[in-house]
Amino acid sequence: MAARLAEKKGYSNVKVFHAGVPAWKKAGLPLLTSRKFVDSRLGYIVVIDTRGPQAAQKGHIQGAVAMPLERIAKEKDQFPLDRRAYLVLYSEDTALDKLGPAAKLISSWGYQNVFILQGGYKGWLANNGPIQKDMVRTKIFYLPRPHPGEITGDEFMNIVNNKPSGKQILDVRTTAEAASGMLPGAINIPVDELSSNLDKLPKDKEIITHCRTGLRAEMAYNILRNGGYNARFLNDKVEILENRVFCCFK
Amino acid sequence: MLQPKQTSRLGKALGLTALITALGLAAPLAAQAKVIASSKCLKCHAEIKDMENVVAGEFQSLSNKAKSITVEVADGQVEVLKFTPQTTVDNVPAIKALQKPIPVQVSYQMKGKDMVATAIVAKPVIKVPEKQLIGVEELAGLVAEGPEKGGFTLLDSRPGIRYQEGHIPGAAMMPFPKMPEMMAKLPKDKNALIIFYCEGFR
Repeated sequence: MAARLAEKKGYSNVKVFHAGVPAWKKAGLPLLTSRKFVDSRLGYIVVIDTRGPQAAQKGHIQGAVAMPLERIAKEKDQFPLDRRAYLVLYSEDTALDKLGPAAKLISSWGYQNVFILQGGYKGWLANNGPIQKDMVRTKIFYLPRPHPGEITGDEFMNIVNNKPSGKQILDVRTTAEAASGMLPGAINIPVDELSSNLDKLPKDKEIITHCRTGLRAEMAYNILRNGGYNARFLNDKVEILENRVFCCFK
Repeated sequence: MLQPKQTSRLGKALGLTALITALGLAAPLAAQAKVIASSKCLKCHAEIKDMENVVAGEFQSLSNKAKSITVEVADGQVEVLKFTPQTTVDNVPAIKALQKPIPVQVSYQMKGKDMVATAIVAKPVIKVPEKQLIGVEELAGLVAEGPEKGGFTLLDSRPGIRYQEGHIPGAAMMPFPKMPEMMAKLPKDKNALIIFYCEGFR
Protein backbone atom coordinates (compact mmCIF):
# COMPACT_ATOMS: atom_id res chain seq x y z
CA MET A 1 0.00 0.00 0.00
CA ALA A 2 1.10 3.52 -0.73
CA ALA A 3 1.44 4.47 2.92
CA ARG A 4 3.82 1.58 3.61
CA LEU A 5 5.92 2.53 0.62
CA ALA A 6 6.25 6.10 1.89
CA GLU A 7 7.13 4.87 5.35
CA LYS A 8 9.85 2.64 3.94
CA LYS A 9 11.40 5.77 2.47
CA GLY A 10 11.54 7.33 5.90
CA TYR A 11 8.32 9.33 6.04
CA SER A 12 7.09 9.24 9.61
CA ASN A 13 3.86 11.20 9.43
CA VAL A 14 1.76 9.24 6.98
CA LYS A 15 -2.00 8.93 7.20
CA VAL A 16 -4.60 7.14 5.16
CA PHE A 17 -8.08 8.34 4.30
CA HIS A 18 -9.27 4.77 4.40
CA ALA A 19 -12.88 5.27 3.40
CA GLY A 20 -11.75 6.97 0.19
CA VAL A 21 -13.64 8.72 -2.56
CA PRO A 22 -17.00 6.98 -1.97
CA ALA A 23 -17.08 8.36 1.59
CA TRP A 24 -16.13 11.83 0.35
CA LYS A 25 -18.99 11.66 -2.16
CA LYS A 26 -21.41 10.36 0.44
CA ALA A 27 -20.63 13.33 2.65
CA GLY A 28 -21.64 15.59 -0.23
CA LEU A 29 -18.15 17.06 -0.47
CA PRO A 30 -16.97 18.47 -3.81
CA LEU A 31 -14.74 16.73 -6.32
CA LEU A 32 -12.70 18.56 -8.95
CA THR A 33 -12.59 17.29 -12.49
CA SER A 34 -9.85 18.07 -14.96
CA ARG A 35 -10.17 20.03 -18.19
CA LYS A 36 -8.72 16.99 -19.95
CA PHE A 37 -11.53 14.76 -18.78
CA VAL A 38 -14.30 17.17 -19.69
CA ASP A 39 -12.79 17.82 -23.11
CA SER A 40 -12.69 14.10 -23.87
CA ARG A 41 -16.34 13.60 -22.91
CA LEU A 42 -17.88 16.69 -24.50
CA GLY A 43 -21.22 15.84 -25.97
CA TYR A 44 -21.90 12.94 -23.62
CA ILE A 45 -21.88 14.76 -20.30
CA VAL A 46 -23.86 17.67 -18.93
CA VAL A 47 -21.77 20.84 -18.56
CA ILE A 48 -23.41 23.65 -16.63
CA ASP A 49 -22.30 27.27 -16.94
CA THR A 50 -23.22 28.83 -13.63
CA ARG A 51 -22.25 32.41 -14.56
CA GLY A 52 -24.90 34.92 -15.67
CA PRO A 53 -26.42 34.92 -19.19
CA GLN A 54 -24.14 37.73 -20.41
CA ALA A 55 -20.97 35.88 -19.54
CA ALA A 56 -22.32 32.70 -21.17
CA GLN A 57 -23.22 34.50 -24.35
CA LYS A 58 -19.81 36.12 -24.60
CA GLY A 59 -18.30 32.66 -24.64
CA HIS A 60 -19.05 29.30 -23.03
CA ILE A 61 -17.74 25.76 -23.11
CA GLN A 62 -19.01 24.00 -26.22
CA GLY A 63 -22.37 22.36 -25.54
CA ALA A 64 -22.74 23.86 -22.07
CA VAL A 65 -26.14 24.83 -20.72
CA ALA A 66 -26.46 28.22 -19.06
CA MET A 67 -27.96 27.84 -15.61
CA PRO A 68 -27.04 30.60 -13.17
CA LEU A 69 -26.20 29.37 -9.69
CA GLU A 70 -29.34 30.79 -8.08
CA ARG A 71 -31.60 28.94 -10.52
CA ILE A 72 -30.20 25.45 -9.96
CA ALA A 73 -32.41 24.62 -6.98
CA LYS A 74 -35.54 25.36 -9.03
CA GLU A 75 -34.45 23.33 -12.07
CA LYS A 76 -34.38 19.88 -10.47
CA ASP A 77 -36.88 18.47 -13.00
CA GLN A 78 -34.63 19.35 -15.89
CA PHE A 79 -31.84 17.10 -14.72
CA PRO A 80 -31.44 13.72 -16.44
CA LEU A 81 -33.43 10.66 -15.32
CA ASP A 82 -30.22 8.64 -15.16
CA ARG A 83 -28.68 9.28 -11.73
CA ARG A 84 -25.28 8.13 -13.03
CA ALA A 85 -25.09 10.96 -15.56
CA TYR A 86 -21.88 12.99 -15.40
CA LEU A 87 -22.63 16.56 -14.40
CA VAL A 88 -19.92 19.24 -14.43
CA LEU A 89 -20.38 22.70 -12.95
CA TYR A 90 -18.13 25.59 -13.85
CA SER A 91 -17.69 29.26 -13.08
CA GLU A 92 -15.09 31.84 -14.10
CA ASP A 93 -12.47 29.91 -12.13
CA THR A 94 -12.59 26.92 -9.78
CA ALA A 95 -14.77 28.89 -7.31
CA LEU A 96 -14.99 26.00 -4.88
CA ASP A 97 -16.81 28.05 -2.21
CA LYS A 98 -19.53 29.11 -4.65
CA LEU A 99 -19.93 25.85 -6.52
CA GLY A 100 -19.44 23.47 -3.58
CA PRO A 101 -22.93 24.00 -2.12
CA ALA A 102 -24.53 23.70 -5.58
CA ALA A 103 -22.69 20.43 -6.22
CA LYS A 104 -23.79 19.20 -2.80
CA LEU A 105 -27.41 20.06 -3.57
CA ILE A 106 -27.38 18.22 -6.89
CA SER A 107 -25.72 15.20 -5.24
CA SER A 108 -28.47 15.16 -2.66
CA TRP A 109 -30.94 14.56 -5.50
CA GLY A 110 -29.21 11.22 -6.04
CA TYR A 111 -26.65 12.09 -8.70
CA GLN A 112 -23.47 10.06 -8.25
CA ASN A 113 -21.13 11.89 -10.59
CA VAL A 114 -21.20 15.61 -9.87
CA PHE A 115 -17.94 17.50 -10.41
CA ILE A 116 -16.56 21.02 -10.43
CA LEU A 117 -14.28 22.00 -13.28
CA GLN A 118 -10.82 22.76 -11.95
CA GLY A 119 -9.63 26.08 -13.33
CA GLY A 120 -13.11 27.08 -14.53
CA TYR A 121 -13.69 28.93 -17.77
CA LYS A 122 -10.39 30.79 -17.47
CA GLY A 123 -8.47 27.54 -17.30
CA TRP A 124 -10.49 26.16 -20.20
CA LEU A 125 -9.61 29.13 -22.39
CA ALA A 126 -5.97 29.04 -21.36
CA ASN A 127 -5.80 25.49 -22.69
CA ASN A 128 -7.70 26.24 -25.91
CA GLY A 129 -10.71 24.15 -24.96
CA PRO A 130 -13.55 24.32 -27.53
CA ILE A 131 -15.98 27.18 -26.93
CA GLN A 132 -19.08 28.65 -28.49
CA LYS A 133 -20.39 32.21 -28.54
CA ASP A 134 -23.76 33.98 -28.63
CA MET A 135 -26.37 31.21 -28.75
CA VAL A 136 -26.36 29.19 -25.56
CA ARG A 137 -28.66 26.40 -24.45
CA THR A 138 -30.84 27.06 -21.44
CA LYS A 139 -32.34 23.58 -21.14
CA ILE A 140 -30.34 20.50 -20.20
CA PHE A 141 -29.79 18.12 -23.07
CA TYR A 142 -28.38 14.72 -22.13
CA LEU A 143 -27.38 12.09 -24.65
CA PRO A 144 -25.08 9.52 -23.05
CA ARG A 145 -22.55 7.53 -25.03
CA PRO A 146 -23.82 3.96 -25.16
CA HIS A 147 -21.46 1.45 -23.56
CA PRO A 148 -20.05 -1.22 -25.83
CA GLY A 149 -22.67 -3.85 -26.52
CA GLU A 150 -25.61 -1.66 -25.62
CA ILE A 151 -28.40 -1.05 -28.08
CA THR A 152 -30.40 2.16 -27.80
CA GLY A 153 -34.08 2.04 -26.90
CA ASP A 154 -34.95 3.56 -30.25
CA GLU A 155 -33.10 0.96 -32.28
CA PHE A 156 -34.53 -1.79 -30.11
CA MET A 157 -38.12 -0.71 -30.66
CA ASN A 158 -37.37 -0.36 -34.35
CA ILE A 159 -36.31 -4.00 -34.46
CA VAL A 160 -39.37 -5.06 -32.45
CA ASN A 161 -41.70 -3.26 -34.82
CA ASN A 162 -40.06 -3.95 -38.16
CA LYS A 163 -38.53 -7.40 -37.53
CA PRO A 164 -35.51 -7.07 -39.85
CA SER A 165 -34.25 -10.45 -41.01
CA GLY A 166 -30.70 -10.10 -39.69
CA LYS A 167 -31.75 -9.68 -36.05
CA GLN A 168 -33.15 -12.09 -33.47
CA ILE A 169 -34.62 -10.88 -30.19
CA LEU A 170 -33.76 -13.09 -27.24
CA ASP A 171 -35.85 -12.81 -24.08
CA VAL A 172 -33.60 -14.02 -21.24
CA ARG A 173 -36.09 -13.77 -18.39
CA THR A 174 -37.34 -16.85 -16.53
CA THR A 175 -39.94 -19.08 -18.19
CA ALA A 176 -42.53 -17.84 -15.71
CA GLU A 177 -41.87 -14.19 -16.56
CA ALA A 178 -41.96 -14.88 -20.29
CA ALA A 179 -45.25 -16.75 -19.92
CA SER A 180 -47.00 -13.50 -19.05
CA GLY A 181 -46.10 -11.98 -22.40
CA MET A 182 -43.20 -11.87 -24.86
CA LEU A 183 -42.21 -9.52 -27.64
CA PRO A 184 -43.41 -10.60 -31.09
CA GLY A 185 -40.78 -12.73 -32.79
CA ALA A 186 -38.72 -13.20 -29.62
CA ILE A 187 -37.29 -16.51 -28.41
CA ASN A 188 -37.16 -17.20 -24.66
CA ILE A 189 -34.08 -18.81 -23.15
CA PRO A 190 -33.56 -17.94 -19.47
CA VAL A 191 -30.03 -16.62 -18.99
CA ASP A 192 -29.09 -19.42 -16.58
CA GLU A 193 -29.94 -21.98 -19.29
CA LEU A 194 -28.26 -20.08 -22.08
CA SER A 195 -24.81 -21.70 -22.06
CA SER A 196 -26.37 -25.14 -22.55
CA ASN A 197 -28.73 -23.97 -25.29
CA LEU A 198 -26.54 -21.86 -27.53
CA ASP A 199 -27.10 -24.23 -30.41
CA LYS A 200 -30.76 -23.12 -30.52
CA LEU A 201 -29.62 -19.69 -31.73
CA PRO A 202 -28.79 -18.68 -35.31
CA LYS A 203 -25.11 -17.82 -35.71
CA ASP A 204 -25.75 -15.75 -38.82
CA LYS A 205 -27.98 -13.20 -37.09
CA GLU A 206 -27.29 -10.56 -34.50
CA ILE A 207 -28.88 -11.59 -31.21
CA ILE A 208 -30.47 -8.74 -29.26
CA THR A 209 -31.02 -9.69 -25.63
CA HIS A 210 -33.49 -8.16 -23.21
CA CYS A 211 -34.80 -8.94 -19.74
CA ARG A 212 -36.72 -6.71 -17.35
CA THR A 213 -34.05 -4.25 -16.24
CA GLY A 214 -31.03 -4.93 -18.41
CA LEU A 215 -29.00 -6.78 -15.76
CA ARG A 216 -29.58 -10.29 -17.09
CA ALA A 217 -29.60 -9.07 -20.67
CA GLU A 218 -26.01 -7.92 -20.16
CA MET A 219 -25.03 -11.30 -18.66
CA ALA A 220 -26.57 -13.05 -21.65
CA TYR A 221 -24.72 -10.69 -23.97
CA ASN A 222 -21.41 -11.74 -22.38
CA ILE A 223 -22.27 -15.43 -22.59
CA LEU A 224 -23.16 -15.03 -26.28
CA ARG A 225 -20.02 -13.06 -27.07
CA ASN A 226 -17.81 -15.56 -25.28
CA GLY A 227 -19.57 -18.26 -27.34
CA GLY A 228 -18.70 -16.54 -30.61
CA TYR A 229 -22.10 -14.98 -31.36
CA ASN A 230 -22.87 -11.47 -32.58
CA ALA A 231 -24.92 -9.81 -29.89
CA ARG A 232 -26.02 -6.60 -28.21
CA PHE A 233 -28.19 -6.02 -25.18
CA LEU A 234 -30.92 -3.63 -24.13
CA ASN A 235 -29.74 -1.84 -21.00
CA ASP A 236 -33.14 -0.40 -20.21
CA LYS A 237 -36.31 -1.43 -18.43
CA VAL A 238 -39.00 -3.05 -20.52
CA GLU A 239 -42.43 -4.24 -19.43
CA ILE A 240 -44.67 -6.38 -21.58
CA LEU A 241 -48.32 -6.48 -20.54
CA GLU A 242 -50.99 -8.08 -22.70
CA ASN A 243 -49.29 -7.33 -26.03
CA ARG A 244 -48.45 -3.76 -25.02
CA VAL A 245 -44.80 -2.93 -24.74
CA PHE A 246 -43.53 -0.29 -22.31
CA CYS A 247 -39.98 0.58 -23.20
CA CYS A 248 -37.35 1.89 -22.78
CA PHE A 249 -36.45 3.60 -19.56
CA LYS A 250 -33.83 3.45 -16.82
CA MET B 1 8.57 -27.79 -37.52
CA LEU B 2 11.81 -28.02 -35.60
CA GLN B 3 15.02 -26.96 -37.22
CA PRO B 4 17.91 -29.46 -37.09
CA LYS B 5 19.86 -26.94 -34.95
CA GLN B 6 17.34 -27.06 -32.11
CA THR B 7 18.47 -30.31 -30.65
CA SER B 8 18.93 -28.90 -27.15
CA ARG B 9 16.96 -30.54 -24.37
CA LEU B 10 14.40 -27.77 -24.63
CA GLY B 11 14.15 -28.35 -28.32
CA LYS B 12 13.59 -32.07 -27.78
CA ALA B 13 10.93 -31.35 -25.13
CA LEU B 14 9.14 -28.93 -27.46
CA GLY B 15 9.27 -31.53 -30.17
CA LEU B 16 7.72 -34.09 -27.85
CA THR B 17 4.98 -31.66 -26.82
CA ALA B 18 4.29 -30.83 -30.43
CA LEU B 19 3.99 -34.53 -31.17
CA ILE B 20 1.57 -35.14 -28.29
CA THR B 21 -0.53 -32.12 -29.26
CA ALA B 22 -0.58 -33.25 -32.84
CA LEU B 23 -1.92 -36.59 -31.68
CA GLY B 24 -4.69 -34.68 -29.93
CA LEU B 25 -3.84 -36.15 -26.55
CA ALA B 26 -2.95 -32.96 -24.71
CA ALA B 27 -5.73 -30.84 -26.22
CA PRO B 28 -8.71 -32.04 -24.11
CA LEU B 29 -6.67 -31.63 -20.91
CA ALA B 30 -5.62 -28.10 -21.85
CA ALA B 31 -9.22 -27.07 -22.55
CA GLN B 32 -10.42 -28.06 -19.05
CA ALA B 33 -7.92 -26.12 -16.95
CA LYS B 34 -8.72 -22.49 -17.76
CA VAL B 35 -7.12 -19.61 -15.95
CA ILE B 36 -8.75 -16.29 -16.75
CA ALA B 37 -7.13 -13.49 -14.81
CA SER B 38 -6.89 -9.77 -15.31
CA SER B 39 -3.43 -8.29 -15.79
CA LYS B 40 -4.14 -6.04 -12.81
CA CYS B 41 -4.57 -9.08 -10.55
CA LEU B 42 -1.51 -10.83 -11.98
CA LYS B 43 0.74 -7.85 -11.25
CA CYS B 44 0.80 -8.74 -7.56
CA HIS B 45 -0.75 -12.21 -7.62
CA ALA B 46 1.37 -14.01 -10.21
CA GLU B 47 0.61 -17.33 -8.50
CA ILE B 48 -2.87 -17.23 -10.05
CA LYS B 49 -1.34 -18.24 -13.36
CA ASP B 50 -0.53 -21.67 -11.92
CA MET B 51 -3.99 -22.21 -10.50
CA GLU B 52 -6.56 -24.24 -12.36
CA ASN B 53 -10.16 -23.26 -13.03
CA VAL B 54 -9.91 -19.77 -11.62
CA VAL B 55 -11.38 -16.50 -12.78
CA ALA B 56 -9.77 -13.37 -11.31
CA GLY B 57 -10.92 -9.83 -11.97
CA GLU B 58 -13.32 -7.17 -10.74
CA PHE B 59 -16.77 -8.15 -9.53
CA GLN B 60 -19.32 -6.57 -11.80
CA SER B 61 -22.87 -7.72 -11.15
CA LEU B 62 -25.13 -10.27 -9.52
CA SER B 63 -28.54 -11.59 -10.54
CA ASN B 64 -30.52 -13.48 -7.94
CA LYS B 65 -33.09 -14.57 -10.49
CA ALA B 66 -30.39 -16.17 -12.61
CA LYS B 67 -28.19 -17.18 -9.66
CA SER B 68 -25.25 -15.77 -11.59
CA ILE B 69 -22.45 -13.26 -11.16
CA THR B 70 -20.25 -11.49 -13.68
CA VAL B 71 -16.53 -10.74 -13.29
CA GLU B 72 -14.69 -8.28 -15.53
CA VAL B 73 -11.36 -9.77 -16.49
CA ALA B 74 -10.23 -7.20 -19.03
CA ASP B 75 -11.65 -4.26 -20.93
CA GLY B 76 -14.66 -5.73 -22.66
CA GLN B 77 -14.05 -9.26 -21.40
CA VAL B 78 -16.59 -10.43 -18.88
CA GLU B 79 -17.06 -13.96 -17.53
CA VAL B 80 -20.44 -15.16 -16.31
CA LEU B 81 -20.50 -17.73 -13.50
CA LYS B 82 -23.31 -19.42 -11.65
CA PHE B 83 -23.38 -19.71 -7.88
CA THR B 84 -25.14 -22.18 -5.59
CA PRO B 85 -25.92 -22.35 -1.85
CA GLN B 86 -22.65 -24.32 -1.58
CA THR B 87 -20.52 -21.49 -2.99
CA THR B 88 -18.23 -20.23 -0.23
CA VAL B 89 -17.45 -16.53 0.17
CA ASP B 90 -14.42 -15.05 1.93
CA ASN B 91 -13.73 -11.51 3.16
CA VAL B 92 -17.30 -10.32 2.65
CA PRO B 93 -20.28 -11.46 4.76
CA ALA B 94 -22.24 -12.87 1.79
CA ILE B 95 -22.35 -12.97 -2.01
CA LYS B 96 -24.89 -10.16 -2.05
CA ALA B 97 -22.39 -7.94 -0.20
CA LEU B 98 -20.13 -7.96 -3.24
CA GLN B 99 -20.09 -4.71 -5.13
CA LYS B 100 -18.48 -3.40 -8.26
CA PRO B 101 -15.44 -3.11 -8.50
CA ILE B 102 -14.21 -5.29 -5.65
CA PRO B 103 -11.40 -7.56 -6.93
CA VAL B 104 -12.39 -11.23 -6.65
CA GLN B 105 -10.81 -14.60 -7.25
CA VAL B 106 -13.39 -17.23 -8.17
CA SER B 107 -12.70 -20.97 -8.27
CA TYR B 108 -15.15 -22.87 -10.44
CA GLN B 109 -16.18 -26.25 -11.79
CA MET B 110 -17.64 -26.96 -15.19
CA LYS B 111 -21.13 -28.44 -15.03
CA GLY B 112 -21.97 -29.12 -18.62
CA LYS B 113 -21.46 -25.82 -20.41
CA ASP B 114 -21.81 -23.70 -17.25
CA MET B 115 -19.00 -22.34 -15.06
CA VAL B 116 -20.24 -22.86 -11.50
CA ALA B 117 -18.43 -20.96 -8.74
CA THR B 118 -17.33 -23.12 -5.83
CA ALA B 119 -15.42 -20.45 -3.91
CA ILE B 120 -15.29 -16.67 -4.13
CA VAL B 121 -12.46 -14.84 -2.40
CA ALA B 122 -12.84 -11.08 -2.29
CA LYS B 123 -9.83 -8.82 -1.83
CA PRO B 124 -9.70 -8.21 1.90
CA VAL B 125 -10.06 -4.78 3.39
CA ILE B 126 -6.63 -3.33 4.04
CA LYS B 127 -5.73 -3.11 7.70
CA VAL B 128 -4.51 0.33 8.65
CA PRO B 129 -3.28 1.02 12.20
CA GLU B 130 -5.81 3.11 14.11
CA LYS B 131 -3.48 6.08 14.57
CA GLN B 132 -2.88 6.26 10.83
CA LEU B 133 -6.52 6.63 9.96
CA ILE B 134 -8.04 9.98 9.09
CA GLY B 135 -11.79 10.42 8.72
CA VAL B 136 -13.94 12.45 6.37
CA GLU B 137 -14.56 15.32 8.77
CA GLU B 138 -10.93 15.80 9.68
CA LEU B 139 -9.87 15.63 6.04
CA ALA B 140 -12.61 18.05 4.99
CA GLY B 141 -11.30 20.51 7.53
CA LEU B 142 -7.76 20.24 6.19
CA VAL B 143 -8.92 20.49 2.58
CA ALA B 144 -10.86 23.65 3.40
CA GLU B 145 -7.62 25.25 4.62
CA GLY B 146 -5.67 24.01 1.65
CA PRO B 147 -2.33 22.15 1.52
CA GLU B 148 -0.16 25.17 2.35
CA LYS B 149 -2.11 26.55 5.31
CA GLY B 150 -3.08 23.11 6.55
CA GLY B 151 0.48 21.87 6.18
CA PHE B 152 -0.23 18.61 4.38
CA THR B 153 0.30 16.78 1.11
CA LEU B 154 -2.75 14.92 -0.21
CA LEU B 155 -2.09 12.12 -2.68
CA ASP B 156 -4.55 10.22 -4.87
CA SER B 157 -3.37 6.61 -5.32
CA ARG B 158 -5.94 5.64 -7.95
CA PRO B 159 -5.22 5.20 -11.69
CA GLY B 160 -4.62 8.51 -13.46
CA ILE B 161 -7.91 8.44 -15.30
CA ARG B 162 -9.85 8.27 -12.02
CA TYR B 163 -7.94 11.31 -10.77
CA GLN B 164 -8.75 13.20 -13.96
CA GLU B 165 -12.42 12.30 -13.68
CA GLY B 166 -12.72 13.65 -10.14
CA HIS B 167 -10.32 14.19 -7.25
CA ILE B 168 -10.45 15.73 -3.81
CA PRO B 169 -9.55 19.44 -4.02
CA GLY B 170 -5.87 19.97 -3.25
CA ALA B 171 -4.89 16.41 -4.07
CA ALA B 172 -2.04 15.54 -6.40
CA MET B 173 -1.99 12.49 -8.62
CA MET B 174 0.23 9.58 -7.58
CA PRO B 175 -1.12 6.33 -9.03
CA PHE B 176 0.13 3.47 -6.87
CA PRO B 177 1.81 1.44 -9.69
CA LYS B 178 3.79 4.56 -10.71
CA MET B 179 4.67 5.53 -7.16
CA PRO B 180 8.25 4.23 -7.08
CA GLU B 181 9.19 6.50 -9.99
CA MET B 182 7.34 9.44 -8.49
CA MET B 183 8.93 9.35 -5.05
CA ALA B 184 10.83 12.56 -5.84
CA LYS B 185 7.48 14.39 -5.78
CA LEU B 186 7.03 13.68 -2.07
CA PRO B 187 7.90 16.57 0.28
CA LYS B 188 11.57 16.95 1.21
CA ASP B 189 10.67 17.08 4.90
CA LYS B 190 10.36 13.48 6.10
CA ASN B 191 8.19 14.59 9.02
CA ALA B 192 5.67 16.34 6.81
CA LEU B 193 2.09 15.13 6.99
CA ILE B 194 1.23 13.01 3.95
CA ILE B 195 -2.27 11.68 3.41
CA PHE B 196 -3.13 8.96 0.88
CA TYR B 197 -6.56 8.07 -0.41
CA CYS B 198 -8.00 5.60 -2.87
CA GLU B 199 -11.32 4.10 -3.98
CA GLY B 200 -12.02 2.93 -0.45
CA PHE B 201 -10.87 0.28 2.01
CA ARG B 202 -9.04 -2.00 -0.36
